Amino acid sequence: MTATRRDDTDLYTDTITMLTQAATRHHADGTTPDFADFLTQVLAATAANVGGPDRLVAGRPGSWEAGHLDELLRGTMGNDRADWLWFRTEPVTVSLNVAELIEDDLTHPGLMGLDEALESLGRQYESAAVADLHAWDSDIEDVTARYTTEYLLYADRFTAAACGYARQLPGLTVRIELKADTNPNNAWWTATAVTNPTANSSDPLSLQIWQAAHDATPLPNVDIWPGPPTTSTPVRS
Amino acid sequence: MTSVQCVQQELEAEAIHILTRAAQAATREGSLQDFAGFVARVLASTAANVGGLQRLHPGPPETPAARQVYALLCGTVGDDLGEWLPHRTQPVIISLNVAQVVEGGLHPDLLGLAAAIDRVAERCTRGEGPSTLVAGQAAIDAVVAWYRDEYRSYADRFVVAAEAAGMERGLRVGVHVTADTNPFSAWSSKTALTNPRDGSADQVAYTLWELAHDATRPPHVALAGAPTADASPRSKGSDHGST
Repeated sequence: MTATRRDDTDLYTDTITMLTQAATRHHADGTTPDFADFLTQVLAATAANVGGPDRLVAGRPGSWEAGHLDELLRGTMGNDRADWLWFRTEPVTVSLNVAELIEDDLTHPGLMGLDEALESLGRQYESAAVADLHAWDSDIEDVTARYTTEYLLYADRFTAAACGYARQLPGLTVRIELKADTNPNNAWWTATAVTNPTANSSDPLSLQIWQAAHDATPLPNVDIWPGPPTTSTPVRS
Repeated sequence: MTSVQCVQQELEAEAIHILTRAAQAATREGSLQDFAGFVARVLASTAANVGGLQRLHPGPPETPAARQVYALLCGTVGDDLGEWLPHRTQPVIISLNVAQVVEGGLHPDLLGLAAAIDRVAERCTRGEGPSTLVAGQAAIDAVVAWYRDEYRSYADRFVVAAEAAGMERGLRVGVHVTADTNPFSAWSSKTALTNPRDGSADQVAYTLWELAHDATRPPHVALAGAPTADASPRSKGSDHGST
């Protein structure tokens, strides 16, 4: 059995145990609470936590189970995304990778990442008749320090903007957790890295807050390409 | 907030947390992908654990949400025991009080231990049994030992029958029988271990109890209409026992 299968078996067992407990509990007067009502509230909160009913039935959208589940959820939560926020119980985790934001051509193609800025600096010194190695070293330190500071400040501004936006969302009462990587040398393209959310991310609300914060936050003061970028995908050594 | 409300909220929070984990797993590639199917299966198992559809949903569903929950349940399991018993994940705990089986009206032809002792005493009084006090006590002791053996033996047979009944109907989890084999058991007291009744908390336990009871030969004890001898049927034979 793979780890994933074992996890799923645990989930299955844990869920049954929990629902069985809920189905067998009694009020103080000996009556049994309405299990259907309990289950409906639990499923609505679950749907809100992962981004809505669509997400819950996406695996097999045409199945009879999906049909009943979808009707149950829409009857409780409605069709308006804004209404779903009231049901959410889990914090919204918004992840930010500043290096990815700067270096990914899809977001800001005119901006240079730290490596690109240092390479550009190197090209300037290499083209000079006599390269001043001390000045080159000093410039490398300055550029690196500037990128480090700018990325940190950007993350602070982004966090404030994200929290401000979330506070204005009616019905959203859960915590906003921001996970930021501000290291200008971070390998954001690796599988284990903190990455910026995409449309395929598991939580659409996280993406919505991220986009709003991104749109409201001035970018870090980094180097810009004088012309079109030389490569479409950044290459790290 | 009362403690009952508090427990209910904790249960709800815990259930949301677990189902959210399942829903998040449903979005991961190669993992649990069919969340709606997952919900239908866990509902079937929940229904089986609490003793059937009626336990989760007493009466016809009245609200639209209740109708969908009911439809999810009915789509996976029906009303028939054989359909939903295989979904059960929690062991079935069956209680058995042998004295109650004998004395509680299920077998009016059988005599409980107290009545059997009374009968021995009556015989002594009438001069039909042992003529000394010591011999009379020995006769009573023999009846008690006989009942103890029979009640234990009955419980053993009952356990085998209950397990077999569960397996025959597709039960994949264990059947645990908690038995009181004391022939002096005060089964009518509130604190006693008693046999399940129709409408008990776990309908599966009740159903398996009935099936096991029907399949198990009753204890070989004194018959109500026959005279009780001063020893067990193994030594005296003809006037004891049941069929």
